[in-house]
This record gives sequence, structure tokens and C-alpha cells, in this order.
Amino acid sequence: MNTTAIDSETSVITQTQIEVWIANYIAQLCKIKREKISHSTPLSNYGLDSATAVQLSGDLMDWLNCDIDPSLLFEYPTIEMAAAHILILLGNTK
Amino acid sequence: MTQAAQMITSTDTINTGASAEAIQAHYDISNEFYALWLDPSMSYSCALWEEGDSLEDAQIRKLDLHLQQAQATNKNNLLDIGCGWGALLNQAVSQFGVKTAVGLTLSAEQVDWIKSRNAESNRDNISVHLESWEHHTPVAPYDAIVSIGAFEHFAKSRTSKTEKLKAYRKFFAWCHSNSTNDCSLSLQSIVYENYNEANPNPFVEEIFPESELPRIAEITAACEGLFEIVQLRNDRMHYAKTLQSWYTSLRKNRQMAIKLVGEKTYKFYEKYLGVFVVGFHIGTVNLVRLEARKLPSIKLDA
Repeated sequence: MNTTAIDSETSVITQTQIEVWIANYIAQLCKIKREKISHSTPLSNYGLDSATAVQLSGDLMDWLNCDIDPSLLFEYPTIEMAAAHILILLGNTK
Repeated sequence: MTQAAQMITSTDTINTGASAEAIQAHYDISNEFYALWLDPSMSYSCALWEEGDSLEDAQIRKLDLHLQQAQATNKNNLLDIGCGWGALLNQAVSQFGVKTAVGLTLSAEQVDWIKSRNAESNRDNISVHLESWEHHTPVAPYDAIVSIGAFEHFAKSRTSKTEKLKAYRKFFAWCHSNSTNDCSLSLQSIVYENYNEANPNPFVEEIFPESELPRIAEITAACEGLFEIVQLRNDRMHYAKTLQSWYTSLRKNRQMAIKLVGEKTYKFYEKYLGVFVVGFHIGTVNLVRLEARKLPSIKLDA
């Protein structure tokens, strides 16, 4: 996984970048082709279990260098919704 | 996940719960490791949150709730079953005027921790024993009993519903026999909610070896005729928030944690705390807190 931390204080992260990161992560983990993953479909449809969701949110935290609740993908169950929420979090933490 | 644990390596016929070894596998990792992500009182159980609380505030609020529910103010002899690192014992003697507070735990690290603090502060009103409730003989009957995060370990995994109920009833019967007539009991436990015991989660079993969580209905059935339930509350979102706080602190102290316990254990805990945040958030498990009052013994031939 690409989890090299970025400096969220200086870099401007876009919703698209976060969505692509999550989609790539799920494609790799669930062994699904990237283009088969919809950004507006609940991720549970791809067989994402709670342990994987927690791992994903942990790696997202490392990448974005911010705090994210491990229940992110249950509260915001699509890639679009999750990315939008993270963008708000990043705005609030600056 | 829970505070100190309580169970037995019993030779009797009721299969009552996780062994001391199983308990120690979870709780005796390293006090320093737990101190990295718990609050200063080392409370390792669900807090009680109000707006604006720090974790420490919310943990103290939780201790106060249980001491109030156990009607502990100015009592002579309080028992804490599964006392963890002694936070409730401290609060009982320092804030509630309890004369003597006794803690039971199966974790040797927790006993050492409490004894060293007793020695530091030269206090003799707190005592701690490395033993299960079942093997404990009180000096005098208890007039207040609290148990936070121990009930989770009272039934062994993969036991039948009947055996589980017997184990729980044995606990309430023990409390009934070893208490004064004005004794109140305050209990906190994780319970199964939207969970299928027929298809257990192997990761949960790995976290708490040999233990099986209760259901609320099993707890209420087990205390019938021994203790009457005065109030009961479900606080699963309080546990999601508590776990979230632990999870964030553990991750912030990653380097030190790995130094203390190694990367494998660190990752295990990170995963376990995160998975439980989700479990409480979506209601796979719940958190029950209940107050119960001792019922007088009924003499049928009277």
C-alpha cells in the first residue's frame, strides 16, 4: 500500500485524490479491478469487513497525517462520502 | 475488553470461565504499555462521557456512577471484583468515605501496581488479592459491591446457554451470600447485541481467550430472586468513544509502544481497539451498566 505520509499542513489534498487512494486500496486488498469499483456504492458490497475497514482508516491516517475514526467507512459507507468527510476533517485540523 | 478479570480454574461441575492464564495473557503484558494509552487512573473500561470531557474526566464520572449505584457513601466494606489498577478503590476511599475497599484481580501486574501505590501513600484502607471471587473469603460481609469489566470472563467460550446461566447465577449467589442485607451491586459488562454466537468471530476469541460475552437477558435471568434490578442503561456509544480515544493515543505513542511490547503486539492492539470501535458503533456489541439491590432470602417454610 502507498502509505508514505504526506504533510497535510502544506499539501493541498483534493477529494479526488482521497477517493483514488481509497479505491486503489480496496482494489488491491479485495483483489478487484480498479475500474469495477464505484465511488458511490456502499463498500460492504465489495466484502469489506470491519478489520479491513480499520486497517484502511489506519493507513489513511498515516498517509494524511491526521486522526480518523476507525468507524469512518460505517458512518460514511461510500468512497465519495468518506472522502468528503475526510476533507472536512483536514480543514478542521488546520 | 475490559478491566481486570475474574475467573477460576475450578474443579467443580460448573464450567465458569476463563482461566487465570487466559486472563494474564491479556492483562499482564506491561503496565507501562497500558499507561501509554489509558488515562492517568489506568481505567481500562468504558467511560461515561459528557460534553467537553477529557478521557480522565469521563473515567472519573464512570467511577462515581458505579459508587453511587452501589450506594457506597460511608459504607464500611466495599468489594471491587475485577479491580484493574485500583482506580475505583482509590475513588471509594478518597471521595466516598468508604472505610475499607477490597479489590480482586487475577492479574499479578495489577496487584503489584496497587500494592506499590499503597506503600507509597502509606495507606491501609485499600487491599488487593490475586484471586477469583469464588476463592475469596471476606473478613466481613460486604455492604457495597462493584464489578466493572469482569463479567465478560465469567463464562467460558463455547459453553451451552444453560451452563452460561449457571455460571452467572453462581456469581450472583456468591455476592448474595457474602454481603449484608443493605448491599447494592453495580455491574458493568460488554454484552452481545447484534451478534451471532453460532458463528463466533475468531479475532474476538484471540483478544480474550476462553471468554464468552453475556447477553442482557442472561444477566437479568441469573440474578432473579437474589438481586433486584433498580436501573439498567446501555452505553455502547460511550464505549466507541472511549476506544477511539485509546486507539488515537496508542497510535500517537507507536514508537514507544513497539519498544515496550514489540511490533506484533502493538499491531494486535491497534487492530483490536479499532475493530471494537466499529463493533460498538454498529451495535455488534453493547455496554450494559446496571444497579441491583440485594433481595432478602426467602424462607419458604416460614
